[in-house]
Parts: sequence; structure tokens; C-alpha cells
Amino acid sequence: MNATERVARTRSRLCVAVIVSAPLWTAAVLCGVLALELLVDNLWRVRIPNGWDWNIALLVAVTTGVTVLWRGRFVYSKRRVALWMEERVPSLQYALITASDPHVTGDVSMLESAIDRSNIDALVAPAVFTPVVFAGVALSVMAGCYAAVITMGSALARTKGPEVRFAAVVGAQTPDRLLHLSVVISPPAYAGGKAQTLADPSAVTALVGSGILVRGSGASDGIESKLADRDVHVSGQRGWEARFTMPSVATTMTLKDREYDRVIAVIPVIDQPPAVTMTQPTRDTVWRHVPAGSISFIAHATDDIGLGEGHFEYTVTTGSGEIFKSRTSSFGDSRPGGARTSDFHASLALASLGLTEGAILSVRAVVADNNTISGPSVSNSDTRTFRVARADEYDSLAVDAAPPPPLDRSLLTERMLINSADSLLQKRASLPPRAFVTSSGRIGFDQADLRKKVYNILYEQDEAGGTQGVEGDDEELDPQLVLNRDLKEAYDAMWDAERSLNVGEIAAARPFMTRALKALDRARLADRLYLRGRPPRVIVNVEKVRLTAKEKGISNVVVAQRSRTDTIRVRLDQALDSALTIAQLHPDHFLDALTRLRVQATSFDTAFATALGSAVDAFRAGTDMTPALVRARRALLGAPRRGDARLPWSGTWRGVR
Amino acid sequence: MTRFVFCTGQYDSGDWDSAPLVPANLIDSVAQYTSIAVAPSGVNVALASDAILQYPLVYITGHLPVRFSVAERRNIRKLVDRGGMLFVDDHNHDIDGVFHKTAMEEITIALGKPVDIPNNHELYSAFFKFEDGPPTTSQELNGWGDNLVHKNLQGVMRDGHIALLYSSKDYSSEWNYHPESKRFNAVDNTRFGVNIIVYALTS
Repeated sequence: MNATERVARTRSRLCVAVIVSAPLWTAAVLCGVLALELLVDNLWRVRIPNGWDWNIALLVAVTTGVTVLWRGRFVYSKRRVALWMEERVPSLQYALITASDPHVTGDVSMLESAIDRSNIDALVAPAVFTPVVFAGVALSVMAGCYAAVITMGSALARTKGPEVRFAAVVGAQTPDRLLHLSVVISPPAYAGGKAQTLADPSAVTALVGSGILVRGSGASDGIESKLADRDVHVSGQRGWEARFTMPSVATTMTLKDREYDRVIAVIPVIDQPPAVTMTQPTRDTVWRHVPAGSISFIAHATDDIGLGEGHFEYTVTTGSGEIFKSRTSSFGDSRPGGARTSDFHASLALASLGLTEGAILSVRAVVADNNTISGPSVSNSDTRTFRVARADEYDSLAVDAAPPPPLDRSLLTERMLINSADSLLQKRASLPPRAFVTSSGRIGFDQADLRKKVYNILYEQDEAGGTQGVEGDDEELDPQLVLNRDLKEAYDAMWDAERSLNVGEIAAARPFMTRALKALDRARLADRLYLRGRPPRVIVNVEKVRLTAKEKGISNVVVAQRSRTDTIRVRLDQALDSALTIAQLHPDHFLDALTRLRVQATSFDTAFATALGSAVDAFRAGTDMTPALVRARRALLGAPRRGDARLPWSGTWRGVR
Repeated sequence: MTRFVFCTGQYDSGDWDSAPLVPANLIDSVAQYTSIAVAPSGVNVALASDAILQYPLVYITGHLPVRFSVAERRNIRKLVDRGGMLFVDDHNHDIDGVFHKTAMEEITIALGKPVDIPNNHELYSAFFKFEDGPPTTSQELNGWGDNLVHKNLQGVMRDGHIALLYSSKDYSSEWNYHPESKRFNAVDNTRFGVNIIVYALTS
């Protein structure tokens, strides 16, 4: 074989090597880039928009293949092939190029001999096929990596959630069009506000009546959408979209794309009814005579979206005994114009109401919001009641002579104690120290007596000998049992005042006495006084009359009282248990079960539903959802309570607080 | 077993205590006819207080306008959600009366519109059998109030259970006497009250 033939043969081999290497490198790079994208997605959830993962991988792979071809372009030139061979065997010193050059004339036998002696074939052949081997190895490694990442993605999907699993499947098959959704929320016109876009949400929360637009990538063909049981039209070719209006009850949107499905919680935000408080007058009144003039009313109203209208409504009730008549009307109409907060002022002329003795005037504020979707929602304030006393009721009422209520007495006594203390303090300069301390101690004694009375009131103990308790140390006042905080404050202040008075430190006692007085005053005002008096109290001697009746009922179930269970909570708790069971048996459906339970609970227990939403988000993010589930359970059933069990040993636990 | 405590709901408007002897009378009847463990006296509990949620049956009555506050309305819903029952009786026995109008309005806002309870409902056979539905009251028969004999009671249902029982028959007047006087009646007119209590506790 002469030099020309050697070059031609090597050129042919190089052509084959370049042609084989290029697709091998293309495939290897394709696998590598796809594996890298999937790895990043699985580990850090940095997701490339649907379809672009393949586009990017193909672009890089084709570029690599073209680069390989470009680098091998020298094979078109025999001279460059000869030069390439000379590079591999430098000892030829251009003998091969010279011998294979068609323009060289003369005897080249010496050159051919030198070429034959150089063992050129053994040196060049590996260099020709090494790139092919490298390309093949690269393809094998990259394909292996890709397969490993897919396997890891599936494993992550089983442990973290369906979305990752979908990503793995999508990478291998046709893209799932239910991934990477966006939701545009347009609030209703009456609420104002701007449209909001949510990226890939697990739940859509919006005001009732809001326009909801769900968008995804890909054509709409084959995508099914249901809101509860109702079909939602899906349209679009370059990107699909589904529109619906936020319903008034929580539900789910179920999307299906071939074997893929997805559930989105649709949670309405209910436009809350406005809140209104009557700020003037502050309390009910009894008029001794038929009144004249007018009464001013002020009501403070708020709303979460905007107030529409407000007015005052009054009812005049006349009659007595068993016969009453009433008439209702309104006054003081006002339109706040969508403000969230407003004060309503109005005046009512009493002469126009035709009040008579015994009449009752009930007035309340009524406000409505601007809700044009499901409303308007109407709220009313507490009712203020004004009663005109009958002329004869003061004569005919059987009023038992009775001392003032204990609380009022306490107030008077505390005020008297303060006066006594102040008076003693002024006389201090003229009194011997011992006499001053003795007098102060007497006031302290009275203070102690008053404190004990307040104690009895605190526990509603009957001074006339009812369940008279023993007033003891301060520790006996269990804060959980104290219903009247003001009285408790007065009681505590009296303790402090008493201690100072007993040692003659009146100046130190005065602030506590003032505090006690003010607290008593607050407690007195906080109690609503009913002029009707106490209803008669009849205590049935149950044991005496037990089963003494001759007539017997037809039922025999009277001993089986039903348990007072919180039925809705119990149902939700059972549903949560079912969902957790699904997590073990059918993990693929766990997310949907939680989402549906969240929707079911939204209208009943917001805290429970919110905690479930957190659990869903944690599940989708692949993080620990246990804390969210614990919150959900506690929202439903309350915090764990200590049982009745006693520890066998009751010594001090060191280090435990 | 915990004792049944008869609870009268105290609302801020109106005269919630217009029938003060009804609780004792019904307690007496429950003790006479049944073996239900019952407290010897009833309690008056503010509807606005969460303490109301501890009672399985809450009795509400009055003559005057009923205007529930936000807290009262909220607790009524809570009570019903927890399986409790309210018994509301119009002490005016007048469907044109102010109690009926305002109470119905408030009940509808809080729980929904009451519907007629059929006269073969379980309520009428919970302990005593009332073939013709709710027993009439002397107020109805005398033509007082709205001059009507109401054929049905009304109620708001929850899960097939009467969550709120509404009466225009004025049982509050009918039962508002001292239990000692019961022995003078040829037929004890509080027997239907026993049915209400037994139904509230067992159904």
C-alpha cells in the first residue's frame, strides 16, 4: 500500500468516525442536559416552563453535534488528513505528505520505504477510533445518569407529592398540561380592587362573585374541568383557560388531562355583614313621665368592603298584661357612599311618637353594605329600650323594704373610709403618734370588714346565711373562678390599703383606697340593673316527687340521654382520620382528600381549614406537614388536656417548671 | 350521668323572665314522670355568654321585641351546631304580636326560616303520645291573642333533629304556675313539656 492509498483509507475511516461521533455526542449531551434539568427540578424545584426543557436540551445537543462535525471537516481534504496523520507520527518528517502529493514527481520509493518502516497504521488507527469510543462512553454515562434521575424523581414523588412525580413522568412522556397553572382573580365591581394573579396555587381564595380565570399551557383539547359537579368550559389552543365565578360555598375544581388530574380548593371569602354599635345613648332608660323633646342617636358602623346605607329603626310597643300592640318605623337615613367606617347621627322627636304611660320605645341602628352579588347584608345594633313608667306603678308595686345592694353599700363605705382617712391625715400634726396609729388601725379594721364583704360578693355568697364561705388567703381566690375582674381588683387594692392602715401609713394606703373605689365604681356600672326585680325562685324537691305521677309515658328511653357531641366537629375529625388512612393506603390520593376536607371545613372552622391548607402546601413543597396536621387536630378538638390520672409519687420535680 | 339542668335563655332585649315558674313546673314534671336526673332548680344564663353552650335545652320566651345582639346570635348558632336545642315560645300567643314578628326575624337570620313540624313527628311521642300534635292551651281556646288554634309547632331542623322549636301556643302562660298547684288539674298540662325535654335529651 503506497502513501496515497494510506491517506485515502485513513480519510475514509475518519469520515466514518466523525459521522458516528456526531450523533453519539448529540445523544449524550441531550441525555445529560435533560438529566441536569430534572435533577435541578427535583432537588430545588426550579422548574423550566413546560416544553422548554426539551427545547433547551435539543438546542445544546444539536449544537454539540454540529460542533463535532465542524471540527471533523478537515477530512474533506486529503492533504489535511495526511497532515493529521503526520501529527500522529512526527518521525515521518513530512514523508507521507510528500509521497501522497500528486504534484510531486520523481522517485518516492525512499519515502515509501520510510513510511513502511514507521509502522504508521498501528499509530493512526487508535487515534481514528478513540473519539468514537469516547462518544459511546459519554452516551452510556449520560443515559445512565438520566435513568438514575428519573428513578430518583419517581422516588421523590412517592415521598413528597404527586407534582414531582408528574415532573418525572412529563420528562419521559408527553407534558402534563395541568402543571404550572396560573389563576387570575378579578374582584367584583362593587368591591373595587385590582386583579390578582396566583402562580400554581393549591387553593383559590377570593371574594364571592369574583371572576376566576385558570390558565395552563398547551391546547385545551382533552382537558376536562369541573367546579363541584358542574362542567366548566375549557378553551384555547396555544394555552388553555377556564373561567368561572367564585361561588358562595367552598368547593373544589377538578381538572383532568388524560391520566393526570388535579384538585384545586375553591374557597370563597364571604363579604361579612357590617357591624354597628349604638354609641349614644349608652344605656336603657325609664322615664317617670311621658317625655317631650327629642333624643339624639349616634351609631358607629364598619364593614369589610364598604357601607351602603344606614338608618335607625324604632318600635313603639304599648299595652300591658297579655295584650301588646306595636308599630315600627325608621328615621335618620344616611348613605356613607362605600366608606368602610361611618358614624350615623339622627334625632328622634318624641312628641311625634304618641308615647303613653307604659309604652316602650325600642331603637336600633340598621346598616347595609354595598354587596350587589349576594346582598346587601344587613346588620343591626343592640337595641336601646326606653320605657315610660305608669303613673300608678309606683303606688301599686309591692316594694319590699330592702337595704341597698351590697355593691352599692361597699362603694359608699369605701368612700367613707377614704374621707375618714383624709380627715385623720389632716389631724396628724395635732395627734400623738400612738393615737394616730390607733385611729388608723380602726380604719384598717373597717377596711378589712369591707374587703370580706367584697369577697362574699365575688363568690355570690349570701350574707344572710346562705353558703357563707370562709374568706382566707389571697391564694384562695382562684382567678378562674372570679367572674368580676373589677371586684377582684378592688379586693386586692383593699388588701394593700388595709396593711398600710394597720401600721398608720395612711399616705401609703390612700392610692390603694382610691383604686379600690374606682374599681368598685366600675363593677357597679358594669352590672345591668333590671327594674323587674328577681323572678321567684322555686326549688323542686326532686326526690320527694320522683316518679310519683300515676300516669306513665309510652317511652322507655328516658334513661338513655344522648351524648352531647359536637356533631360537625366529630364528622370532620373522622374525615381527617380517613384522609390520614388514605395517606398510608393510597398516597396518590392523599392530597386530593386533604384538599376536599379543607373545602368541607371552610364554612365551619376557619382555623382547621387554614391548618389543612398549610398541610397541603407543606405536602406539595415536600416539607414536613406534621406541625400543620397537629394544628388542624387541635383546632378541631382543642389542646390536649391533662387527665385525672395521678402520679404515684408526688415529690418535687427538680428541673421541671 | 350528669344532671339535666333546665336553662332559661336571657337575652338583652325584651322580657326574657316573663314566665318565671315554667322551669320549676317542668322540672317537677320531669321528676314525677321520668327517671331523668334533674337539678331541683333551673338556671338563667345569658345567651351572649359561652356558658349557654353547656345546656342541651334552652328555653326562651317573652312578650316584647326580641333583638339579638351579635354575641347572642353567634351563641345560638354555636349551640345548635353542637347539637343543642332551643325552645322558643311566644308568650303573647299572637302571630301579629311584636314578639312573634321580631323573634321570627331573628331566628331566620340566625338559623334559617322555621318550618311547620308535622304532627306525627317523633316529638309528639318522645314520652307521652300526642295523637293530634301539640296540645292546645287555654289561651288558644279562650280566643286570646291572635284568636287562632295553631295546628302545628314550627322548627328549624338540623340533621333531622329539631334544633329550634318555636311555639305560638303560649305554653309559657299555660305552664307558668307553681308546681304545687299541679294537683288541682284534672290532666297535667305540662306533659308536653316533658316530651320536649325528653326529645331534647334523647333524640
